[in-house]
Amino acid sequence: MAIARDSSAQAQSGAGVTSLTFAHNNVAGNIMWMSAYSNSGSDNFTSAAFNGTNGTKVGSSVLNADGTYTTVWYLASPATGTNNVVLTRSVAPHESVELLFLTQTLRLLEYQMQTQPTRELGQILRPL
Amino acid sequence: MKSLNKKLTKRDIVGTQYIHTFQSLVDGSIFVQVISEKEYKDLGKQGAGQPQKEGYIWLHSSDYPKVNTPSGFLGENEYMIIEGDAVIKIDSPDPLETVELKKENIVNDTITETGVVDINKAFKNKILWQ
Repeated sequence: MAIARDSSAQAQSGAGVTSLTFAHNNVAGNIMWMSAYSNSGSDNFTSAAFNGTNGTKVGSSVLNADGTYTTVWYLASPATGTNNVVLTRSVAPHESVELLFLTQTLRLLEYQMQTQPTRELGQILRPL
Repeated sequence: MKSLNKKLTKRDIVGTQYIHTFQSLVDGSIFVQVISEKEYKDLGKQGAGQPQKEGYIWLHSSDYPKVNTPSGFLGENEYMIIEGDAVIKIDSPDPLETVELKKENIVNDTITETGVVDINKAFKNKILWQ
């Protein structure tokens, strides 16, 4: 089944940043996937929220041989319109590569996506 | 053109500050505005709007290490240590652009030849060494 992406956004922070906030316009999607990437080699992302509501963590995994780490959350029935995303980490990273990518899909895909390993989810959701 | 000295000045992290980052709609330059912790945390609340600055588009906001300089930010050819890595400010149109090296690649505040090779690799040999 093809993935229907209604809208997406991404941002990148510099080294030493533990909390990053940026805007995302949810046009019409009724489920939101949020994915954070880091080359720190460890899972130190603590939360991802949209319009003040925390996403539910699906899992995290090493995505690539270079140690790129991805963590995935989802949020059902997110607010529509332009609101703020807040990504937080438990430690200040030394690396400047850090991305958060958002997408909305049809609710029909929710079960299918949840049953897939995080690694596969990360590959699906990684920035294009 | 981005440039860097091999001889650097180390700065200590003395706290955390909060910033908005905007991009000019005219020339694409980056503008950084220091804000309060409350202003930053309010951005995450339900219904919070987005920061506005005339002639600019808001990119993002974040916390950021505060170092012992008058501005609180690294100047060109200055570095700080985070998690065992040296984070070095290069001369760039982006006021926050840095490059990271293993701290072992800085000896007596000078970038080693191994460090120079790593930086050249990261910037595809487009760094002007001064």
